[in-house]
Amino acid sequence: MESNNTPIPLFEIRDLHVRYGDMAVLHGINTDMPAREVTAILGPSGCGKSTLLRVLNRTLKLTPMARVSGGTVKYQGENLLSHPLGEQQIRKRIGIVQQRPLPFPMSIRDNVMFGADYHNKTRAAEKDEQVHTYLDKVGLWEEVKDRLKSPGSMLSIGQQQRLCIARSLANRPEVLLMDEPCSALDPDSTAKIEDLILKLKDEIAIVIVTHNLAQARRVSSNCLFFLNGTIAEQGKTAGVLNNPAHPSVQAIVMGREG
Amino acid sequence: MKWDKDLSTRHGGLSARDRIVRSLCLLFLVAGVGILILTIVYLFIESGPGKGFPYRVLDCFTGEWQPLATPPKLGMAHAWVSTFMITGIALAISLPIGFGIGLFTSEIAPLIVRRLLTPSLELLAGIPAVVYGFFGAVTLVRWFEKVFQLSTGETILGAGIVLSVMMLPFIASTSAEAFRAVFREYRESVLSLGVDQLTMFRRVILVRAFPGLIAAAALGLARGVGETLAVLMLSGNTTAFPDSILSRGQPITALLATEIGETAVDSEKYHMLFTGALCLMLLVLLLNLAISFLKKKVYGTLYAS
Amino acid sequence: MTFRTWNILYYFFVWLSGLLGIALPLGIGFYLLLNGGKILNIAFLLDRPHGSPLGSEGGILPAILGSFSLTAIGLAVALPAGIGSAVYLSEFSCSARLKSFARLLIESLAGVPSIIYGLFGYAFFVLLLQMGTSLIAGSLVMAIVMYPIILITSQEAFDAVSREYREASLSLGIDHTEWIVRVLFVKSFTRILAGVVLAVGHAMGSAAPILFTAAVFYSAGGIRLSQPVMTLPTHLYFLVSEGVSFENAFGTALVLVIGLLVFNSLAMILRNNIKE
Repeated sequence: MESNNTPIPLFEIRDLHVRYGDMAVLHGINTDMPAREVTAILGPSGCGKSTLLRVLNRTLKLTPMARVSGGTVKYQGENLLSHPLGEQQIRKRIGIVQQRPLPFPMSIRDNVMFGADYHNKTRAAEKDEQVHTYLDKVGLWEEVKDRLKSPGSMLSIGQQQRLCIARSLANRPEVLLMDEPCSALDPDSTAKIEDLILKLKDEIAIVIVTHNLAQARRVSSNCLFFLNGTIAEQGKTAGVLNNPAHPSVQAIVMGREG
Repeated sequence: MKWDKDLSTRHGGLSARDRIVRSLCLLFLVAGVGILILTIVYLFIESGPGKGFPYRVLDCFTGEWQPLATPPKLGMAHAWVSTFMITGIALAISLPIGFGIGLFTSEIAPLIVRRLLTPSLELLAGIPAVVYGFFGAVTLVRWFEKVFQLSTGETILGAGIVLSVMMLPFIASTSAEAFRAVFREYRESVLSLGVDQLTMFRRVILVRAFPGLIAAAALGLARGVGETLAVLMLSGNTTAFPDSILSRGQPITALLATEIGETAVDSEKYHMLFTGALCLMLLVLLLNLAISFLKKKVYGTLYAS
Repeated sequence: MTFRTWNILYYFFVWLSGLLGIALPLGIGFYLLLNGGKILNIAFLLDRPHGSPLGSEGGILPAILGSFSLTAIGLAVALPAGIGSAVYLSEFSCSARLKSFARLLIESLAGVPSIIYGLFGYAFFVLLLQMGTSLIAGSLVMAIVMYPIILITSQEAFDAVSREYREASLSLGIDHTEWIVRVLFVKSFTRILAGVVLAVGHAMGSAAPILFTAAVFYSAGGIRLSQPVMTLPTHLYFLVSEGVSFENAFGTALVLVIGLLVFNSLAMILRNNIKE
């Protein structure tokens, strides 16, 4: 299944509108996100990037007053917003990593297996194996293997974020959405997470919201540039960031990197 | 592609287990709130609604209490007067001191003293009414007998003084909350003009915190009129009409506690007692609603949230 | 007088009030300790009331047991009901209107004097449902007194858990029950416990709700649901109002105050331990 020949994109978003109460946050989003690629969503704060991720992960309704007021989103050809699998299965398949790492009030081990345990009951031995696998994947195993029983909140912020990524990965999602996963982290932890994204991109599709244009260049091949609730520019990352057509995007790209 | 089995439902995102939990929780809420509402309704039923009801309510506040006379006189005027005399004395003592404590904790007190004061007020609030009653009986009552040359030292004044101590923590914490919010907003800009603490308090803080202080007073009043054990033990519990703050009295709660166990069910006296209870409850409910409203007003205008 | 003098008087008054707030509980505590300390011993705690008039000698064991069983049974009813209602209001209720209405209603009812609930319990449980003056009737009234307090504190505890946790948990595709039990309850546990301890302390000290629903002057028998019980606050009340024995009254008051002191301190320690 090569992405070039796939007739069905991962997400097909058509004329999507989202409102928080009376305030329109997204108006008229149109895009196709290719499978098996890293898509970066760029743009200034407050322009609806995180809102789009919440729509895709079906957690939008947890925000008070927020609702999709128009448009359609298709996931692998099926309508995402009334998907026959139901909201919980969609959330399992389309995982999300939030901006601020939030370890749950339990051990590191239980944090990793929190969602996975719910979705598939696993035997203890198998569980240990999975904990190892996913902590290894995020590069945390060597750092925490001797204290798997200690609470997740004991870790540093950078480690906590990787723990949260492991928690999402243990769900075995098909897509991983990341909402500015590095904004609270130091450069060293940021580099670790970027490496992780490059490692993961062969296994699952990744959509990452970021402020950092250099980061978008390093990790993504497809790119959406948001301005005020619409997509101002989209396409291959190199194209969008090197030769933007939209004047405001041009100003931002030149201003930041020039 | 093969889908895993679906654990969730199609609508609302609630699993089968969620729905059971939700129904159970709703059941608890309906039962709990239902019982609380039933309390009001049942008090109303027991107060004998019907033809004579409006007259009974009027009589409850104005009539004399002579249940053994023929025909029995069942008015509770003496009890309401005692209640408001005792609560009035308590508020008169407790409001200034309580506001003083509120100012002290929110602005004046050094950190160490504040750390000591907060738990001691909580302990004061934690002492049960019956212990206050006992404490008053072995201190104030005996002392009053000597000082005022009374045959029995139980007085409206004594009950009021002990009640003021019981109200103190509630008035202090409610007013401290209001003061703190206002001080935080104005302290710097007012003191930067070079005025002293009293001026700041009088001209700015008092004005802005006023609804909060009224809420504190209402809370004290609500606590005071509903307080039972302490006033029962200290007021003397006599059905005579109180004529001074040194005479004995019988607040409405004490009357209810004394009489209800010895009253024949569904008798006229029984209905009258429940009418009194109903009026007391409605009075307190009204005060509580006013408190919520006033609190919203203080914090609503200070922090539009 | 000058501004300066007035300002000094203002400081003086405020300091005086503050120090009074510290002196009052200390004074009451020491007074009870001095007078009740000499009667307080193991025998007083573990003996039944004796003597003539009854209660002038002996101890207060049945009252301690009665108080504990009343609050324990009351709590067994009020705790699940209170926490369950709070879960419904903060997790499942769709309408913000319903939520604020329920909250207003419950806050108002939490302030209703406990004698009113005592009267209701007497008319409803004791007379109408023919439970008689009994442990079960008193426990149910205690449950009604504790329910709003537990509901309000649990709801506040749930509100204090950041909404981000809810989103992070549910975004993994788990159901609400899993999130409530494994994350929400764990995160809010200390706050709820502090509230429950406070509610229990409050209930254990109040005599008005049980005066005519559960309490008797003397009970020799054990603790039975259908039988009335002795409790610490009502025992103290009877000892004083009948003038039985001020010595034993001091002892009973001291036991009651020390017991509640433990509860209140526990609640305070718990609240100070809350992080964030």
